[in-house]
This record gives sequence, C-alpha cells and structure tokens, in this order.
Amino acid sequence: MTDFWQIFGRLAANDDFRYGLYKQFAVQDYPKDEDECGIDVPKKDYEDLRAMIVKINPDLPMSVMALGEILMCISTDLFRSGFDDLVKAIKATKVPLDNRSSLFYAALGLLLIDGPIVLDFAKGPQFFALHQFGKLSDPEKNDLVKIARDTAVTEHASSVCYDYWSSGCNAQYSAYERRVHPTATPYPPTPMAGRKPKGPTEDQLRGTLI
Amino acid sequence: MRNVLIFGSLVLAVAAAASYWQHRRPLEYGFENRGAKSPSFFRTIFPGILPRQLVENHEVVVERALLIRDPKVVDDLDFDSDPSTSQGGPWTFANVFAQAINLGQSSAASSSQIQMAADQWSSDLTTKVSPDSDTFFQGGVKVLFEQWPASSGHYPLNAVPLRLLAVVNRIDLAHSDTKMCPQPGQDMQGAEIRFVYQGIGPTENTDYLRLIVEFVAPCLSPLDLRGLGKSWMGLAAYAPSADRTYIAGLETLLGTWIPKSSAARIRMIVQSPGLIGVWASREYPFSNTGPVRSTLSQELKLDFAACDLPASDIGKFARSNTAQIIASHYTTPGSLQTQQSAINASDLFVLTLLGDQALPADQLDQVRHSLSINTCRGCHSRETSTAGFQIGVRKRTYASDLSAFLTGDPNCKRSTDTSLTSYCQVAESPLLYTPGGCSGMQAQPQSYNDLLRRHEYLDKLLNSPRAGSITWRKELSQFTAFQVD
Repeated sequence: MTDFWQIFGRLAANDDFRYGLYKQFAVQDYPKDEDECGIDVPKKDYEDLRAMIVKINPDLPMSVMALGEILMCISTDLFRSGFDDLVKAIKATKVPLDNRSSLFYAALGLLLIDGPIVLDFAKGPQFFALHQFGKLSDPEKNDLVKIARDTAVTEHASSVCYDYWSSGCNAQYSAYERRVHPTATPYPPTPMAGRKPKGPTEDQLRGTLI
Repeated sequence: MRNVLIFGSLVLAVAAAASYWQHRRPLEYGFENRGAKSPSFFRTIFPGILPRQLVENHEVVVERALLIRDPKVVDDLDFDSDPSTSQGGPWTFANVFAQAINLGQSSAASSSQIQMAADQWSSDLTTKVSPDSDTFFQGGVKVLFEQWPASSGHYPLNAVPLRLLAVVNRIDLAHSDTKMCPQPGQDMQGAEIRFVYQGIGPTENTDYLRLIVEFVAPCLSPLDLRGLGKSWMGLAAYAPSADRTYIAGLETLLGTWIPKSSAARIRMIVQSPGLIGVWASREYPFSNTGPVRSTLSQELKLDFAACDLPASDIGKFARSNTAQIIASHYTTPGSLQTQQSAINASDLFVLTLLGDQALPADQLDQVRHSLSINTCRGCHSRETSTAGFQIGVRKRTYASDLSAFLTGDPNCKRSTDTSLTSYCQVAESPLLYTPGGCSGMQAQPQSYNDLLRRHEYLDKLLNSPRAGSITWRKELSQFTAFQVD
C-alpha cells in the first residue's frame, strides 16, 4: 500500500500530475460487478494510469490494487472538489512540495488518510522512525510536522475521507478494532473441486476459445 | 503388611490432594487501581479462594447485576432511544437527560427548560476547544448533526441518534471518604449508575460516538450502601425466562436510586469517521440549567510519548501528592488540566516517568500506573490493552462485546464471555518507549479482570460481617476502583 500512499501524496503535491489525471480519466461511474462489492475498471485505464505514473517516477512499481484505488477516487466530482480544497489547505502551509523524496510523498499521502499517523507526526520529527519513516531527511520531517499540525489540512483531509471512504479506509497504516478486511470471494474459500461454478461453464469457455 | 498399609495411605493421600486441587475454587487476589495485585509471600503459601456463591453465580451476576447488556433489556421499549423505533419510554436518553437536570430541584424542569438545556449542550458541541483534537471531535459531531437535524431551530432530545449499549452498576466506585462526606456515619461516597450509548450513524459501520450518562449516588451509610448492593444483587435472582419481571425490577431500582443522586454528568468520546482511529473526549457535568463543559477529571495535558522529568509539572505533582495519586484521589493541577483530549486507539505509549523522580522505587510505578490508567487515554488504550472501548458497538437485537480489561480474556481479545479464572496481562515494560529515551523506569505488568473485581466488591459489600466496621472497610477497599489504604 506504500505505492498508493506515494501516489496519493504526489496527487496532492503536483498540480500538473493531478490535472493531467483529471483530463485523462473522465468523471464516470465505473460499472459495478454483479455482487456490488467491486467495480469493473477497464484494463486500458490501469495501463494508462501506470504509464502516467512512470513518467513522474519510473522506479515505483505500482500494484493494480493501488492503481484501482486512485482511478476510483478520481472518477467522482465529490472527490475532486474535496481534494482540491485539501490541496489549497496544504499549499497554505507554505511547505515546499516540489522535488521531495519519494518517501516524503508517501508520508504526505498517508497522513491525509490516517488519524493516528496525523497525531504522531504532529508530535514532532522524532516520531517518524516509529512508523518506519525515519529515513526522511530532517527538513522533510519538519515540513510534514507542520502539515500534520495544520488544522485546516486535517479538517479537509477528514472531510474528504469521510465523504469518500465513509467509515473505513483500507489503505491506512494504523490498525483499529473492527476493521473489516475486504475479501473478493467467500471466506474461508472452498476447494476448487467443491466450488460451484459462478461464471461461464467450461463448455461455454471452450466454445469461446474455439 | 506394614508396607501395604504405608502404600495404601500414600495412595489415599495423593487421591485426597488431587481431589482437593481438582475441586478447589479459583484463587482470590486483591487489586490495586484495577490491576490484580501480586500476592504477598504469606498469600502465596496460604492463598485465599473465591467464595462459593461468587464462583457459582459469576456470569449471572455480571449479566444481570453489574453490566446489563442483554438486548431484551437494552432494546426494550422502556429503554429504547433509537429515534426510528423509540416510543418514549421512561428510560430513553431524553428522559434520562431530564432526570439529570431535575436532580436537587424542588420542582421538575418544564419541557421548554429541558429543550433550552439540550440546545445549549448541542451548541457547545460545535465549539472548538483544543487544536490537537478538534479535527477528530468536530468530524464526529458533524455526523451527529447529520443524523440529528434541528426542528424549528431546536434539537429535540427524543431525536438524538443513540442506541443503548448497557446499563452499568458502578457501585464499586464507592469508598469511605470523610472529606467528601463529613456527616458521621454517612461516609460511603461515589457509587454510580451509568447508561452507555453509541451514536447511530448513516450506516451500521459508522462508529463515531460513545456517550455515557453517569449518576453519582449521595453520601451513604454503610448499611444504605449495602442496601443498594442488595437491590442490584436481587436482580441476579430472577430466572432467565422472567425477562419482563426482571426489567420491572431493574426499573424499580433505577427509579428509586437515580432521583436520589447527588450529581450527574455526560461523558462523550467522538471520532471523525474520516480520519478514523483517533477519538476525542469531553465531559459535561449537569447543572440545573443543563450540561456544562468542564475539564476532564484526572486527564493530563501532556504527551505520553515524552519522558517526564522530575522538574516537570507532572514530576513535581507526583512527588508532592504520592499517597493521593496511589489512592486515585487527586485533583489534576491546573497546568495539566484540559477540556478535550485525544485518544489514539492504536497508541504505542503509556505515561512514562523518568526513573529518578525522588520517589521510593516501590512507589514509582504505582504512581505512574495510577496517573496513566485514570486518564481517558490510559483506560481506553495501551495501558489496559483496550484499543478503543470497554463496551463494543452493537446492531439492534445483538449484545455488545466487551474488552479484555473487563472480561479478563487471557489473550487480551474482545469477547462476549466473562471469566472467573483468567486475566488479561499487559506487559508494560517494553511499551515504556519514548523516542528520546527514558532511563530508569520499570513498569510492572498489570493483570486485569475488572468484572471479577467488581463482583468481588459486591460480594464483600453484602457478605462481610460487621458492615461499617474498620475491618469491613479494609476488606472492601482492596476491591474498590480506587484504593484507600
């Protein structure tokens, strides 16, 4: 999930990147799958987004999970307008956002979605190592402390998270009671041999292949 | 022949010992500030065992007389506060709120006075008081008001989106206090009755608000306190099938004791469902005009992740108030008071004092533990291995689960079951970590089973001879939530 945090941070820090994504990917309702527990994102969207990310960071392997989460976010006006307000609040802190390390962007992205991280980052630079962000430079830590302490930033971040993810963002660092881990198939899984086929039959598949 | 007799005697002795060990009851420990006390050398050799009546009825007493969470009770129309189903029963939140305003008044407040109090309280909820935690509090308050819309400019109490989780008997808070209760023979102070609610959100998964209404009993004589204890214990005698009779009995108890209360307060913990994982707490003691925000009792305005030095405010306070702190009877000094505090449910920290506090080594950890567990953060986070709440949210018709601090679950996991024999052990020493380092502090592990402690308190209250005597007070004191000797 660190890939998601980094891109989420870059989305906040880099206007060209953000508006480039807004332009490339239209506001749309991706079709839901039949169980309504997932959305059907076209393969091309994943590929196009990956290509755009490679342009700003060629050394970031992106999981399809993180790509899908970014695509889902930017597919709605609700997110775009709330996130743009959040970016204004971040810019108002006067923290420089260009040419920072990849870890800085990951930390920035994380603090926009995780309450306990906001609380700990706001305590001071000595607390970053607790969450494996100790490799950040001192100026970067100090800048992130400044952002974490800014109530306008945290209020906008909270609002975006609430409007968009409601009661649970699965990209958080911090564990919490009653967190529901998403599953795509019934859990625990049944062995393949005993599983009732849900999609096309083998004959239908064979026909398709022929 | 002689050898056969010796062998036979040995076999019989072994069998008798095995039978004794097999049938012996769980050991009885004292407690210090909610943690089970390590037995003394004497008690190690001659351990006490729990009274038979306690062992045989623990689960029933917990469920019926100590922490009442049966959905047949908390969803009953007499208690139901959910605006979508409530029929305005006598123990809805709105009526409990009205009872709190009426305490000590010669005549009942009018409906417009009660509405004015509700409006004043709801208005204060949107007031920002601490930049460190406002985001988290206000985020949750936003959700509250989405579910609790104003009607003609007022916030009707019967529309507050609350679900009752439990009615809680906190008689174990009562202790002898001749300062608070100077009238001779009326020295038992602090027993409480609590109504614990969760906020109902836009979805069942939106967890954003816990609210407790607490009623504090007046100073009581030992016999009156015992009478209150008997009333509670009487509820455990109803057969499981006699739910309606049980509810009537519970309502009689509440109707008798709540109007006698000397004080009431609302305590709330709120989290923004946006940046989840951080809760912010507030307290609102009732005045005759309604709930008025106050400082959080025994909360500390300091960072648990810091190494607190002897020259710090907390260091000085700890040295000059050692006995009161160990007894859990202290007033937080002004410089450390706060009206709102953040609770990180996944916190890594407990209160940490530098070893050199000029306190005797055997008292240093007692002081640290008492100061820490008496804060909102201590009780609801790492100090008790709780990570959030003692009483869990629930769906309608389901019962709440409970923290391991309450149940004594040996794995320190939330559970619906209570235990007589196990404790949730929190090994704090490794957790006394601060980024800058903090030498010399050695925190002792703590073992918790708070419902067992509360049950033992009730059992001692009812079954020890000579109620009111010095011996009785001493027996009782080791099971109070606060320590008095």
